Amino acid sequence: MRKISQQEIMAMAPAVSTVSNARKISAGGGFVRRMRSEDDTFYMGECKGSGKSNYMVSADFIEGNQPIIRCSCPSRQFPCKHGLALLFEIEAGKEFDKGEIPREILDKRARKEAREAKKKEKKQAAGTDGEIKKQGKSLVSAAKKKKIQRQLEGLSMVSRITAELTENGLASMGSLSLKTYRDLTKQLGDYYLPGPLIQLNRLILEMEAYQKDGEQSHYLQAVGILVRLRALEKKSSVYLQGLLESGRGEGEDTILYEELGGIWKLDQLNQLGLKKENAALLQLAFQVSYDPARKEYIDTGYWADLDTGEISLALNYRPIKALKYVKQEDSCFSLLRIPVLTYYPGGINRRIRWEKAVLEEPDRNCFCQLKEKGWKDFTKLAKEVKNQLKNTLSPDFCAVLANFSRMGFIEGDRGRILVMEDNQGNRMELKDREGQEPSCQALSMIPARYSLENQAMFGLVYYHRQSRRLCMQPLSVVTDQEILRLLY
Amino acid sequence: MNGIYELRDRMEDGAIAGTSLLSENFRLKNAAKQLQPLAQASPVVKKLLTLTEDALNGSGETRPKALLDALALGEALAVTQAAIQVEGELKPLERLDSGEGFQIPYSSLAPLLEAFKGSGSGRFGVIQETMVNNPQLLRHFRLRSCLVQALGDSYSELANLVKRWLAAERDPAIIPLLKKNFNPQGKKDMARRIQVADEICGGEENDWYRQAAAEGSREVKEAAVTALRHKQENGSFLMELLKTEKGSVNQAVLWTLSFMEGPETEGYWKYIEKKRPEEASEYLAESVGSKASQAMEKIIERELEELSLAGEKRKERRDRLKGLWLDARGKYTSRLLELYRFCAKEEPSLIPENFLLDSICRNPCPELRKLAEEMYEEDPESNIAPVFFLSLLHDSAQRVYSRFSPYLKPDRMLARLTKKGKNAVGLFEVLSRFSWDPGTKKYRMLWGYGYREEWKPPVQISYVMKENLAREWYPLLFNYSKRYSWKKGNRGYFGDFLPYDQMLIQLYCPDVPGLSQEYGQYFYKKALEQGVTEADVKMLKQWGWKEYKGLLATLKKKEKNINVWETAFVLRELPLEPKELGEELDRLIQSYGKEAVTGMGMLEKWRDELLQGVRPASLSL
Repeated sequence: MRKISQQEIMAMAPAVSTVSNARKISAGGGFVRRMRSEDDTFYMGECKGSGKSNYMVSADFIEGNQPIIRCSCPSRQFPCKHGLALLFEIEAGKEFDKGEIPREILDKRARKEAREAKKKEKKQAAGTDGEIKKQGKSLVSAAKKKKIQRQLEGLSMVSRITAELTENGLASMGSLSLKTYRDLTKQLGDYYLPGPLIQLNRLILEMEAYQKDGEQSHYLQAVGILVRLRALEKKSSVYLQGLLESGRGEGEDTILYEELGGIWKLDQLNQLGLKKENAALLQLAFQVSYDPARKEYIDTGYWADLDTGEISLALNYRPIKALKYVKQEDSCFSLLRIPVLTYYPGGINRRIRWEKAVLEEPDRNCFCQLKEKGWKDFTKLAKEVKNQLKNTLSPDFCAVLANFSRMGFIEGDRGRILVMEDNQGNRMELKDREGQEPSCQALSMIPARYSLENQAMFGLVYYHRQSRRLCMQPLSVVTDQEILRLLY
Repeated sequence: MNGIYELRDRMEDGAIAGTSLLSENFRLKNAAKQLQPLAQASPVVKKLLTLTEDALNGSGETRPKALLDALALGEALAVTQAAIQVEGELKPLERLDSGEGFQIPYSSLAPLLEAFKGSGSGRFGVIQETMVNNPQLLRHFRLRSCLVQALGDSYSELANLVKRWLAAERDPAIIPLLKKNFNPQGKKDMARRIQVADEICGGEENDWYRQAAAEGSREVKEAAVTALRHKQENGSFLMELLKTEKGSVNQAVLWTLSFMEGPETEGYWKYIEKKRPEEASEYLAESVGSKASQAMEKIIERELEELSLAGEKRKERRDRLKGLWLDARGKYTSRLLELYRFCAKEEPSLIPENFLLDSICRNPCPELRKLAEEMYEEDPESNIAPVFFLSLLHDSAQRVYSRFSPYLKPDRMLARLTKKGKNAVGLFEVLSRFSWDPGTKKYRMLWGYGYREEWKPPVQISYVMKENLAREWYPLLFNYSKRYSWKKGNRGYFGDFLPYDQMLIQLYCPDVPGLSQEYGQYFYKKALEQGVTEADVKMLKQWGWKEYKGLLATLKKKEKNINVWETAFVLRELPLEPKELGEELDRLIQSYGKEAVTGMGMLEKWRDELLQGVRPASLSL
């Protein structure tokens, strides 16, 4: 009789609940019949199911202690609870009648052997490593082409949806059932288009919100999403057509790669030259937000490069379904020395990642160095930001560090406005972004003994529609001694 | 630029209504027409207008796509034209110097902010836990104003918790925040602000209290009036208020006047003399001034005389006298002390427990101290507490130890000869009032009483031991055989720990070498004997205790059925890896054998999850 431990069984389980359910089946006498082969490589059981007929479950140990579990139940989990229950039966040392291995199992074993033999033959016939790679590449290209075709089909669908919505008007979407659009987005999931899928989800969420509160502002937001969707669909189509025609299969330095389902590996990005060695980073702010369209929490760290002053974002995505398995990030107050810092394609604030970092205590020099890198002239800063924000597919803010000589408030016809001023008299309004956690009020909470003159402000500059101005939501104040965070 | 914005807005309206209706959209057409002159000068505007034209006149999918492209371009144009300059006189931000700017990570700050600003259950626990375990976090500048706002929280338990905490913190830097945006017409939120200031700075904000007492709402007046007790100059003002105020504010005035000594308050003292004793003592309870003491003396003397003639109403009189003595704590006149001596000897049941100790804590005047020493000489066992207390405040650690440690030493012969070692309760009464203050590195007593009316400020007294406890005390305290005979009862009644163990916890000093190990040993053994709790584990961790195996199994000792919640709490606290916890839990499960016990299913589920590596905090409850 074969031996198998509980730990081994649990290691195979796709989820904790599968183990508990499997135990219940085994402990509750779920198996009405048990059988094993003479040579102890094959175990089978007939298990009671929720329907009329029982399920046939088997565990084929032909390859040692990594059994191939098969079950006739409709569950998509693998291995299913019946398969694990059979293993628990074995673990518990229950009685298994001896019998013949079924014909179909023998056939499956034979087919598997034949496949493996063929693979081995091919490998031998291919000869050198280079040969293998060449064959591998052409295989990838064929699959890749197929995928691109599929994506183009999906984009075509997106194009039709946006055109239809715009033609009929968003008002029509508001009054119709949104179920149709939810079903459409589910279909899009088969077309490897996560970027457009997320935008459609946003659109649906916006219209759901409108149906709840009737606020007209949701329509304006929805128009913005449609515009983005249209731009994404257009650019993605061009990009994918280009890939098809040129036969390029690898990722490129473009934000569209991720929008179209690509998952960057650090090595890939490093090979593209999107890296920096021996980087020194200091975190300026940290936030946790929830994106309902993605159904993910996003931990965002805003990092400044002490050498160049570049502000980058470290993003940690935590899907709702896997919250207990993905660790939440936290604020970091140390200076990070990173041997290899990798950048994702992007604009002013690129996403960054790293594998290793050494943490050090930042000293006064770090803060002074950082301040030095801030923008000194708000008009130049504004120009740079506008260049970024005008692109439809860019984020709707730019994270910047700007030096100010003083700050305060102005009483005007728009009420009380918080303002900071550079040393040339240029001013920029400080204002909280709508829908985001407010931070401006924290400025007046900073104890009076901390000077708010000739410091640097880190914040997110964005375009404020109603006032038609560039404003900044402040997130931290950088002094010569420290960083005073207004949020986290 | 206004033309661009107009066109953009019209296009948005068009997208909302639908491009199928665009051909009838005259406003859009007009907006486009207005921009024609600009098109010649600007290629971007020209392109925008071309796209608008396609949207207006196109067909099929061209129309909607053109509109969306036009919107994208319009928005981009608007962004490039965005202004930044702001005109006007720049005035400096008003900032107070409250709080500190140290680094506080998201994981600590976010839950606190959520607790202060959010709603729903659980907030109280988060804030209370922080106050106990991480009080320094609440000094952050982001949280100072949250604390002040919390004084007006809709959940009054939380508001009062914050009030007590701010008062105990005694940080004068909070006063400007309390006064900022103060609204005298506010309700309990504003009243609590005054109460906090009252406790922190006493009479320093007398002007603020006077103004609030004159202009405030009922709740604010109550608080402001009681705060006037600190300054004798308020006597006349209070007498005026006595004439005009009614209801609870009038009560507050009567209470506050008990602190006044000036001749302008003679009318008040005559009024008090005529009141029924229990009514009068309500006003006099918290005051230890000479007038209040004299008044109390007269009341008690009268009551004692009447007690002897009481007859059927004797029990009622006795109960009243007990209450009067409680209110006499801290008061002194020579006659009052004589009456106390008499009662202590002849009618000891009339005197509240720890009366002399409480009185000395409240008012350590030479007369009360002398009385304490005299009574100790007469009957040491019964009167040890006040003398021990005074010794801790004035004597060296060695002197305290040599004088009082015999009460804890299990030396039978010595006990027979000296009659010591029998009853150490008095020592515990005193020690349990002290706790280690890591800030000052001293044992500090923060003690008080008086919460009968919400508007009455409690009496809060603070003392510090002259020298920290001698090292030799600890083994005696750990090994005292009758430790649990003091304040008998079960743990749930007193809180997380029995009173004796709570006293030990308060007396823990991290600066004494090796003490953490002794504490860990004592509490580990206790947990093994009596069954572990979440609080036990928390303390063990604090003392750096390393051995936790076998503790979970002791849960079975406490009750037959499984307390699922307690098990969960203990699991979350034990500093073991998930697999180790799974094994410990498995042992507990096995100890039940085949018994059908409620809650077993949940434990088995957790065991499986833990063995899979799921962390305790993520266990499905």
